[in-house]
Amino acid sequence: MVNLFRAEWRKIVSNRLVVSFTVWIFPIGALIIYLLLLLGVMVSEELRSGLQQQNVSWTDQMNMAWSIINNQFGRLLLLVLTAFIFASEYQWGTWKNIIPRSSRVKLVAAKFMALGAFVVIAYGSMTIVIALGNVVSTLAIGGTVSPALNDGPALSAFARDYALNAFTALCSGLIAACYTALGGIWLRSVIGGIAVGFLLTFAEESVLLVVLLLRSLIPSLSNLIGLHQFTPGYNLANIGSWATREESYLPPGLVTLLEPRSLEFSLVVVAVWLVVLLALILYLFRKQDILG
Amino acid sequence: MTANSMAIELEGLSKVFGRRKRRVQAVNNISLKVERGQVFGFLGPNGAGKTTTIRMLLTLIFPTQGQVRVLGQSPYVARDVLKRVGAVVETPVFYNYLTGRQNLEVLARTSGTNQPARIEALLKQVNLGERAGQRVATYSLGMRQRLALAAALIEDPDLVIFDEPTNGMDPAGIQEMRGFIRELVDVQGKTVFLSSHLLSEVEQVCDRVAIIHRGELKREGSVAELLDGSSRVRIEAAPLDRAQVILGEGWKLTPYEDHLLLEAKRADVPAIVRRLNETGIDVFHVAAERSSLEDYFLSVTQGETV
Repeated sequence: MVNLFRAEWRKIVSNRLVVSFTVWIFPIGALIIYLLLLLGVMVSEELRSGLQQQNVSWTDQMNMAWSIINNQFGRLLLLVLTAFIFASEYQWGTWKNIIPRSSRVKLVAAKFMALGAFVVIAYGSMTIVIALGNVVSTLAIGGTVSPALNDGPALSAFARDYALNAFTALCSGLIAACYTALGGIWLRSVIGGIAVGFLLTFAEESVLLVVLLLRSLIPSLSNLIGLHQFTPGYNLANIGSWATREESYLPPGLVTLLEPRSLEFSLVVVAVWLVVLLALILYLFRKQDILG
Repeated sequence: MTANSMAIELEGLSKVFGRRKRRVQAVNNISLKVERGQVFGFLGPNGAGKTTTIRMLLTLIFPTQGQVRVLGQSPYVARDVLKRVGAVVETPVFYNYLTGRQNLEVLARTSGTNQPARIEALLKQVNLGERAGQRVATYSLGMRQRLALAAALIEDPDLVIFDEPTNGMDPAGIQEMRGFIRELVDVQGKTVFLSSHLLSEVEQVCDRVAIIHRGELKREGSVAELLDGSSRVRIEAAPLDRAQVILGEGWKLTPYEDHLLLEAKRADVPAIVRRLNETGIDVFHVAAERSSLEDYFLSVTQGETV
């Protein structure tokens, strides 16, 4: 499996165009933003005083960075990378070289492992650059680095939050990647994979809107609103809420309509989604004739 | 012969693509045995089902019906047996942005191994040593064919499957390839399963041949066996039109301006001459000609070209 992973790694890392725009863009983008900020701080008194007033801690910035995976920019790049990894073998016709050499299950597993490694590297390195940038810019404007690097309890709390943010972001990213891989394998196309990934992500986010609309049109369907609590999005938010505030997450405006869900409930729902999506991908790929 | 002495066994192998109106029977009930230690030619016109059969051997396509055994085992059950098989399927394709060497490394690692020394040796063997560090995007089709050959041999397989291996090669490359294939069998003891549209090449390099047409196996045997029953007899006689009528009663023939060409064996020549003499026809020249595999192939496939 190590050799298989290294083969996937080589295929991805050597495609400089794809890897630059979907992986290295995160740490390099963060670095450029901080370099521009430092330049601005040196020439603009206004910017310097603005930064002093904001005083965002480096730990908060590191935690927030993981949320990029769920915004449109981060999601698009994740879908592109996933579609490239899973569907480009169809477009190049290279499945015929590799399928006789390894089992289809192992090939898919290696692709997911490589995808995971690149996402962790992209976001992990970006958060490190952000932390360093925050510290340097804070020192540059004469501020105090907070929390201090020798503040044990604060660093311990940060480590827990950071791990949680990374976990929920990666779970969310993995589910979106599964949608894309499913689409890419089904349609045998990179563009098709991205389109399906977007469509299913959008459909998942629209569940709440759809059930609210249905409820307003047909009041007898009021119980449908509970469906929202079976989506990955709700449950990842609920896991985050339990981990940070130790209480259930209820979307604003729906507090009276939804029942609070436990942490265990959400962990099970997310796990079921992941298992079902992975099983679907494997089922589809294992039964597929490779014609090209 | 025991099952293990067979490199390939196909039993009632069929493949249907699509359903209802789009239903296409690509391969229909093919049964075939390929013994180890020989070059086996697999011939057929375009769309005959050659590549579909090869893809089923490699688990790229799933059979609708029938059994596939490679080196005594079903690759669908014991897929590790495919580690002992090297293959070049149709046009060779690679990761264009990787170098030739990197492509081989990726394929070796996909097989679960890392063999830099063997990769270097193979690159030299297929005359790509100097270009191995360049991206495959810059390679000609002939160079890609040679790289595919190296890729097929990375794991030192017992069975090598070539699907049109000389496509895009220059005459010297084709000659070299022919020698290389024979060496794989005669010196290294491997089995080669070869599909090619170059019938004269197949005739020169293969020990046995199977002809597939419209998804069905039409003939199978050694080249000598297949051609034994299909020699031709050239006859120059006068008057030629009368000779054509008389011989046409007993043999299938093709008339030409100054001669007739009969589908007949050498053993039939005395009877042909007797028949012509009995009817007062003058015979000037009779010659038994051995058919080429191409002639035989065209007669089996009713003239469809490969």
